[in-house]
Amino acid sequence: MKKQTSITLVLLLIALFTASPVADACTNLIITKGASGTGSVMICYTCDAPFASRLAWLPGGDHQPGTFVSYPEMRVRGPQIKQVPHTYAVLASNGIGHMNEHQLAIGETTFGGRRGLNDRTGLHYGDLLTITLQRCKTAREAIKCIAELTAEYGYTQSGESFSIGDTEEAWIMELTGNGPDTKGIVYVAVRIPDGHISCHANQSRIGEFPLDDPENCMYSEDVISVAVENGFYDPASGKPFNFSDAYHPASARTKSGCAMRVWSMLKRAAPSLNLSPDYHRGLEDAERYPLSVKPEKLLSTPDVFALLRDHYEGTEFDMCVGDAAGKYASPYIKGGQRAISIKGTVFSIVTQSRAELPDPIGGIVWYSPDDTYFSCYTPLYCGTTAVAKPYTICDKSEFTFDSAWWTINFVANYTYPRYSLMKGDVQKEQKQIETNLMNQQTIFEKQALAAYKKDPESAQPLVTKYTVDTGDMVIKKWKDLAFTLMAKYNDR
Amino acid sequence: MKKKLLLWTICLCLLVWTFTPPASACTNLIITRGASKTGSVSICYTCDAGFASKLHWLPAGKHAPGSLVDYPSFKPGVPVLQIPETFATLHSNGIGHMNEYQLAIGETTFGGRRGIGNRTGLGYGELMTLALQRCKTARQAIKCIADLAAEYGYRASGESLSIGDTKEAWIMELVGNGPDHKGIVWVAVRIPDGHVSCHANQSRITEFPLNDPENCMYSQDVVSFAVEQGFYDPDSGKPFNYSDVYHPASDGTKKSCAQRVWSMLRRSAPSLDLSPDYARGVENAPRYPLSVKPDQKLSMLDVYDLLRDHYEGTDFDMTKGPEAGKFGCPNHRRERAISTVNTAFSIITQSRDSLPDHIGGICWYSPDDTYFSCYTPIYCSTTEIPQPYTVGNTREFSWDSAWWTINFVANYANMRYSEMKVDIQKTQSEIESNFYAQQPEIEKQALTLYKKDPNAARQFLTKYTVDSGNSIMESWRKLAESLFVKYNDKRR
Repeated sequence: MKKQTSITLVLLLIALFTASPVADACTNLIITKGASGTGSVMICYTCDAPFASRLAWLPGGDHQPGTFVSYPEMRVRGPQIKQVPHTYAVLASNGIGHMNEHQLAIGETTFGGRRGLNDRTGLHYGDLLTITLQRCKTAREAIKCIAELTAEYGYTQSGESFSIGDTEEAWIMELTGNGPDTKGIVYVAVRIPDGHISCHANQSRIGEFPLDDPENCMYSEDVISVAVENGFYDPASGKPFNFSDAYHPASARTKSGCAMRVWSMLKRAAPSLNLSPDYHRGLEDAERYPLSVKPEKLLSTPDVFALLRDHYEGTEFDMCVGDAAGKYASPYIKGGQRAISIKGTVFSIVTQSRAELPDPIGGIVWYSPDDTYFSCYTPLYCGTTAVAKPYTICDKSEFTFDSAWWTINFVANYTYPRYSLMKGDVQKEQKQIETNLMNQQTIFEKQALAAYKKDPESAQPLVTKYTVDTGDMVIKKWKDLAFTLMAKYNDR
Repeated sequence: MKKKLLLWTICLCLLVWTFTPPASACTNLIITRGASKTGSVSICYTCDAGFASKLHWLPAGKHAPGSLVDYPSFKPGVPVLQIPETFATLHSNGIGHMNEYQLAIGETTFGGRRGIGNRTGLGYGELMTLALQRCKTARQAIKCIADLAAEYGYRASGESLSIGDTKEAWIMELVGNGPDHKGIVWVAVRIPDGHVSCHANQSRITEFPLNDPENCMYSQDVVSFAVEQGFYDPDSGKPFNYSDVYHPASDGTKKSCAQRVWSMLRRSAPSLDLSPDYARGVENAPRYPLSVKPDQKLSMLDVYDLLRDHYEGTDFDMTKGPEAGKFGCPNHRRERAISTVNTAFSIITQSRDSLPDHIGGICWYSPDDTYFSCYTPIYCSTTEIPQPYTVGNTREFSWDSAWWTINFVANYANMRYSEMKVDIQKTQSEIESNFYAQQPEIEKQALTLYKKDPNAARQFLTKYTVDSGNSIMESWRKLAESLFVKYNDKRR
């Protein structure tokens, strides 16, 4: 009897450990063309981890046979990756690709899931994002490419949800290793219906999926068999196969740490659905949140920024309310509740991919380092061949206002302790800059398009100059804001 | 009945108004030669007011008859005739500190009786600067201040001045002699050698000898003016008492002023076991003595320490209690401490007759709150001030300003006081101990030069003064940046 109890205990512990989510990690929001006020497919990605962001433009080009893939901050372990004859230029942070010159964009969140399925050598998910962007033009190509790369070289990481968008459609792809003895991944990819938005946040989101609808769903052949082999799914149970349940069984922790963010984004985009907090509060038999919803109105770019700026304000979980928030109603004090906006965000992106514009002008990565709440987005056109210098400087051990990461981080850090008193100053500047950039965007793209129509080659220097100048301007303004705050709140 | 009540209320209001001490204001500590480990007379002055400190140097000069006092950094509010010869003088924002003969002055405002200031005339800062330009000794300065006030008028309220030369230190208390006159009523008392004294916005001279010119000077009308104004009744049988007459104590003055005096005296002479009763307004509690003999002779670092105080370790410890919060921050306004966020600058002078004036006189100088200040040596013979100490604009933050740099670090510490205090004090103590250790060697070199050519010594000390100030600014900015790095995104 005693022995049995202890075995049960050990099993329980193992189960708990296995299903535990990644502590910090990321949030993604996916906007389809038909849900966007600007007709853009948008991939939004907050990368939440303890490093400083270093943005880079990785050039594309032709390559000799027999050469290997190489770019700064590649994470691959083990094999060298054979290069393809031609690669596309990619915007990336810290080796994690965002968008390529054909407006293809990718984001990710880690769900972790079942342990022990990954390969010992092979690619990191950061490599998958970057190398795929270097090789593909569309989301469908990207999904296949990711499956092929991992099958050839292996996959060293745990479960991931990828958001993949091109100028026409957006997909969510969920994957995990297929076991240490076979190179590759098991995966499902589902197309988000046009007019809908979707999101994920460190919890696997794809439940049941059609096996016979290649237009809207792709998957690896072994997605069910690996689950059966590993004892994650019993076909005799009579239950239909469910990717999330098999590869990332939900726990109370994943629900409150992950599903709560999903709930907040879906609920704010579609208030009329009246989505209940029950599931993320861990209520038994509460229904999971739908993979995607139709927003009540088409979302503008600033609307999307706003969806990423959230501490559950106005809900019963509002982190700015209550004794724990302190004198300055700060959402950064209360422990135990994970919001979308957190101190530990490295960078966030909001992309636009637009079919009606030529690639160099149609693709934009709106980029900001640090906490989305006090971030300020600058546009990086995917046709650019350079990025503003402050975004490329990052050294966590040495502060400098020459670094975009440090500048944005400093303002946020200076604001946190007197949150309610100071946040208005930061938000005012944030809104002013971002509104201005929206207005400028229309004018600039008109000029760039006119130039492109005369000579497609002339667009590249134009978008490059605009990308670099705007980035420099945003950081200069943010440094001025820092100094203004330092003077205004001195000795108060 | 109603009318009477109204009258009473008005009278009460007037009374309260009359005796309310100036809200912020200053603290002074006076160390006599015999109380100093280095044989220095030291005047310590924290100037607590809402402006940015700008340190300047007025050169010595010979002046044509009929010319007026007029410098770019110093021009009295009323025209003052220049005298044939003036001495080089250091001042901040028009408030004189020390001259090239090692004469030093500090002040605190007690305010006192209303309505007895002259209608026009000089302010106290102007009196200090003019006296320093004109005098070599404390006794000369006392007479000079009385003469200047008689000639040009005195438009400010009651003041306590600390005046020190290479041999002795005096406290002089003064008020205007009425709106229709020009001049002041005053008493000046020499602090016995071996003692320390202090004042903090409360008149400190009580009874005084009328027949001991070696140790006490006073204006002829000091008693008669009080009688005329009805402040003192000679028939009361009570001896004349300057404080009681010109600045009757209230609970407010006791708590916010006498408490600082108590703290400095108790820390200098713990053996006296001075009771806080008077400061806490206990009825019939005796006032604190004008001066005490410290238990041990004080080093410069001991003196710095006396000025860094939030009543730590006493019943009134401001780092304790709910107002101090999780990080023990003393910068709430429950008590008035010596260290306060709105100190504009503080000085600690050394006047030493063992050395030639050019080497013997130092004004140790720092902007802002004494607790997180860092003192740089300004030799009284310097002909140049380190640039960062000469600039500051409260509305515009700049790393090029010493006031801003020191101020900013202190402000930043409010975020996580108990933690950041350790980092700041480490740098502070490293820098200050270094200066202290270097001082004998620097002065030895200066003395060698002086013996050959006094001018060479002056150049040498000017360079040392400038280099020292600049090096502190560099270290302090690095300190700020290291705090940004170390405490970035820290959770509460």
